[in-house]
Amino acid sequence: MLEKLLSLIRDHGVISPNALSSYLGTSPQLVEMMLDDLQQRGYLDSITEPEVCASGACQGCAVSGSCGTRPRVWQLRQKQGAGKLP
Amino acid sequence: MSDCHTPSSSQAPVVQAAAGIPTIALAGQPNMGKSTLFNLLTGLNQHVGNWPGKTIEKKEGLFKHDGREYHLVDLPGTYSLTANSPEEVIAREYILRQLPDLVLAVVSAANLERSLYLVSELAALPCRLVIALNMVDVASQEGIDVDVEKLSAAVGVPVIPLVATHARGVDSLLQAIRMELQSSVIEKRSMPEIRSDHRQVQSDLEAWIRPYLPPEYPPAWCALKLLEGDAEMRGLVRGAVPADTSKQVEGLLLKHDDAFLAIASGRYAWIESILRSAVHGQKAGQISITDRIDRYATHPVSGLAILAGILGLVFWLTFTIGSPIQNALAKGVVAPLAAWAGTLLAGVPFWLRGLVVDGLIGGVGSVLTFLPILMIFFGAFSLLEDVGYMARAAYVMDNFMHWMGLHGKSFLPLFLGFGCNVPAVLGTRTIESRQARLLTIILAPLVPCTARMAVLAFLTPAFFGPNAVIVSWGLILFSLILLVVAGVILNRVIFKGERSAFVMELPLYHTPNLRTTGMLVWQRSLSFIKKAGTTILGISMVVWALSILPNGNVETSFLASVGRILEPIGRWMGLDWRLTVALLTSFMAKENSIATLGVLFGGLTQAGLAQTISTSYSASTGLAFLTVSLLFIPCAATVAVIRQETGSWRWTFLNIGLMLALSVGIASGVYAIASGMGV
Repeated sequence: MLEKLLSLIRDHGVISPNALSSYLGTSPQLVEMMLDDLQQRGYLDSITEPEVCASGACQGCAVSGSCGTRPRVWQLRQKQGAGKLP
Repeated sequence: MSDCHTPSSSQAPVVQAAAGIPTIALAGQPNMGKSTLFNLLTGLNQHVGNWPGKTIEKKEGLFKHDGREYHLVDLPGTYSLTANSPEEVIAREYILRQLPDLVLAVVSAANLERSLYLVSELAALPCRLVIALNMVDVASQEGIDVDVEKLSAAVGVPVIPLVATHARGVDSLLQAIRMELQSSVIEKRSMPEIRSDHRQVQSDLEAWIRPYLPPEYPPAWCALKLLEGDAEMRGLVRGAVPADTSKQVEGLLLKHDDAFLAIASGRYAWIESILRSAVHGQKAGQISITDRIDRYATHPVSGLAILAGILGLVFWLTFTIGSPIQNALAKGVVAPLAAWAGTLLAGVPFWLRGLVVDGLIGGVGSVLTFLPILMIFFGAFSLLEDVGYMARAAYVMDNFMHWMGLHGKSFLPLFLGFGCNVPAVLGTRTIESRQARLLTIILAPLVPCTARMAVLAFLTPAFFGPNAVIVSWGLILFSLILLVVAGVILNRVIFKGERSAFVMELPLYHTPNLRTTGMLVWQRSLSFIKKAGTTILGISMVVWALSILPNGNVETSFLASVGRILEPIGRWMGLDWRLTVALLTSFMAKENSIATLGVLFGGLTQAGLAQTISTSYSASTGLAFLTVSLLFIPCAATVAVIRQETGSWRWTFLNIGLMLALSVGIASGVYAIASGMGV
């Protein structure tokens, strides 16, 4: 299941958990759980807004309050020895 | 529950499990109601301390049921039994070494997927197991129906439905625990299967390590943990087995370093099969609506069309509702206020009158008339965000960039840059190659940020009146095309087609909460007003001072001198010195260009800034000014981050120079074409 999930991510370039769940025939919640698991194991990197906005550099911008929240993104990583794709 | 509790003793430690009292370990993930159940059962008869050698809280207590006493230990909340965290190590070491008489797994009926992963690991251990299916009320409210009998049959352990917060089902749970403790054999359980090629590896490992393991560690389980890459288990085995066996084990593990995928896949397949048989109606309605909408909203072609349509609609709403209010404010409030202040301050020194009328009212006042436009802008985007569409907008754009061939690592920073260029520059940290990173940083400011779009929303109607929607829409589209072209070139030349793949979370669509949207608009507007009263005010004052010094005449001021030095370059784009200076001040923050125009024009006219601009400049000048504003060098905050991330002033100035050349070059071309066409 995880091997197929990784293949789907690699093949699609950009894909959503919902689309992954359709391909795998499972629930989006289970897919998100698998993504978290793969992230913990170093196969994916999770990119969240606080990591990139933590510098506070944009505080001077008068419209910075309108940036909103970005969707959570996982990036496929080619980790040495762990991220081997099937 | 009165018979469940014994009165608390005042002596410490309160809890001491006497011989013969069965010990129950309470296991489960955080937020599954484990603590609620623990407190419900033990009441005040509990002791809180720390796990030996750790700063993690240990709770244990005693309770009575049907005349029998039980010792309850609350294990730390864990997601699995792999040694990913100290909590997980404590939980599994306790179960393996202390051998509780029974493990009570608290799972949430509303979030069974996540809970079942831990259950799949607990089921593999040689301990009595009972599942407390908590939060059945929450699951029911969410339309999730868990078939308890099927779940119990599928896992092979007793499952008792429970609402711990209302003490519902606790008696049945305690009966089940008593019966399980009385049974002499552990029923055969359903276990996750691992792929056949790894099964033999597991058997080999098991055979090699079996003779050396401490007796409390099941060899098959240890072999599985080794294959999963469990560092704690690896250390334990390394210390227990002889050197040649250790070498043999390490060699096999190295050869099968992808075994984690096979083992975890087995667990997920196990969870999936249980969910399929025991859970019905999981948020199905909501997901299917989302799926139906997403079939079009995230489609590479229709998704882009919908995004373009929504962007056009947002501009249309902004211009149709916001611009008239903005004009009314400018004519009805700012201009009369400036006139009134001018009359009131007739007797004071000219510089003080100028400071208030032109600097304060002209500069900050003009920016504040911008507020209705921004509020509609904020409102539209807040609403789209609340509905769940904004994530789709990013998804469609990303899909588009991939479709255009932008698979490289420059993709992520450019995605992060929508809204603000600062995260775009910071996002380049994921790029290993310095050369590729520097070039991506150079491209990052091409992503249109919210401040640039907001300036566009203010100035486009001033230049183009009823055609403002199509012009704004076209300018944003042009900027995106430029970005994609630059990104594709970057990808082909620098990243050599290196691929990069993403998963992007798309929230479920839901009905917007107007109160939430209203609050969001209010907070964002307040933040804008605060900044208008500080940063923009400061810049307005400086611009005003430069516009009256040294002799009180704007045409011969220091500002005009600076503007006239730059005017020859401005002329390429059809800009006079005023527009050139306004462009220059946008470096500090994009909205300063409006404040500067407010200072230079606002105090001179009763017609309002937008109308003054529209009568002062041609449409071709307007188009060139909007183009150069959209592509101009990034704001000071972004430049500071570029300096920080590149660690080089040379690269920072190169970036500024390139953006300057690009924006001026394109805007000059736009002006030449537009003038040639008689616009």
